[in-house]
Amino acid sequence: MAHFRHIVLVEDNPIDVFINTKVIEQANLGDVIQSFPSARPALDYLKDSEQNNLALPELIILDIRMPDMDGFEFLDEFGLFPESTTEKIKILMLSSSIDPEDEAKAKAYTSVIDFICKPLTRDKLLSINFNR
Amino acid sequence: MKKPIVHLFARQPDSVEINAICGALPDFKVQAHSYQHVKQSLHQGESILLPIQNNFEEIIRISAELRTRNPDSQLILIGELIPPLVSFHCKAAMVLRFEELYLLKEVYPELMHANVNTANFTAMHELQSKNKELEKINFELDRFVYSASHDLRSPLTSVLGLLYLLRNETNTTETIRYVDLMEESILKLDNIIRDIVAYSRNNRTQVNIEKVEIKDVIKDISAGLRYLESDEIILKEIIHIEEPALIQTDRTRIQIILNNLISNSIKYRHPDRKPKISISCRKTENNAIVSVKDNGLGIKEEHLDKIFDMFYRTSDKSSGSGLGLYIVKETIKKLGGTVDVLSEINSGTTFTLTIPTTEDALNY
Repeated sequence: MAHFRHIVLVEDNPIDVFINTKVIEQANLGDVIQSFPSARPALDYLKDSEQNNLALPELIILDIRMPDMDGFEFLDEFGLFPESTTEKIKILMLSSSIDPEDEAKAKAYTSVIDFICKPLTRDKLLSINFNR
Repeated sequence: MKKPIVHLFARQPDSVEINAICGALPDFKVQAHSYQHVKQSLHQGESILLPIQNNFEEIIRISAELRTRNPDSQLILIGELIPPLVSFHCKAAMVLRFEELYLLKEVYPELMHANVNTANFTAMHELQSKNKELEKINFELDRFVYSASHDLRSPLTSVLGLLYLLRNETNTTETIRYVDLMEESILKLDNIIRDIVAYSRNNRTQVNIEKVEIKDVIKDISAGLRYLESDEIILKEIIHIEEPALIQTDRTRIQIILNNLISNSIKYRHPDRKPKISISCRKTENNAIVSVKDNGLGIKEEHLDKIFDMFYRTSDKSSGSGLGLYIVKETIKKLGGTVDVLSEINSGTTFTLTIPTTEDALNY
């Protein structure tokens, strides 16, 4: 199973933050799990880290439907970062959506490695090829 | 700009020949079939494009010559002015479409009472507004299905996730936490379903006007909002009714509206001060003006024009469905009234309801 030093979770529902953190811990997927309740502060954090040459997260687990700015808008802005930054970060989409259009739309982004339908479980994490 | 025109035929013609007379030059006649692209007269179900090579304000009359075979149903000729088309080198053009009325009468029963055989603008406007209404319903249905996929599933997936964790949990304290979070998710889902039902009821049920005492309505609402009460929130203490007022309106609907506004005021209260909700009511000649004012968190200006949209949420902090203010907007519309909002961040929000008290204002 893959292991990441630093994982960022972008998720507006506090219950899902709780669930996802537990599952990631139990699967031993990462050392540091940092969560943001909406897309904007997560982007600000990435921008800040990039500009100040700070360490970037290796994996972002991103929800789709969030108030203010949704996951797709996040991906659009993320795509504007320099390639030297985006190539270092993998994005895993995690949504309650069962709309195949959402999945197809998400997978069309180069940074997106996979799409998981909630709830997140250890088995689902194990089935993902993180080395894409 | 599109200008509609409509012509109803009492009997069913097999075909129709068009003469259009333009407004600016009343004697300027356009023989439709004299244009090369209108090779024959218009048959039922067909459309033609009629270019008008002249300056004019509007088409003032369409005359049509009918050849009838079957007198059973009525037919409708619908014309629509469209902007200049480069390819036709004309100033404007008109699309004429020929449809059978009995196909339309189930959807537009009022068209059957239209003044047959005269160009009937009113009927066309009716048709247009019904069409807009249908487009709106379609749009909302699309949004609803999309949102249902996300918002109805979201609390369910949380419960599934918690169940999954619960299976492998041995610590009793943690177990209780999972159960609490499950309950929270289920209540959230229940709220969304309740809101959807309230919304649908508003659309389906008749408006029933009676004398309503605002004070009594608030009393009923308070009983339903008991679950929000706590040591710091005692509904009796925080809700102030400035003037006990009697208004003529639909009791159930005003209750739905005030219930949503008051529960919002409580959910989005300011953490640093005791919540206060003031409800006042005054009357003008044709309206009752009810305002609900709170000293809560306030709404950011950038959100103000969107808060009445379906499924719009500004945060996920509350158990909101994103339907509450949408229901307020739709319900007040059913009463023929309007809702306005004034808000200042960190100081509070005031919703003002304008409710018509004369019966003819209820146009839904």
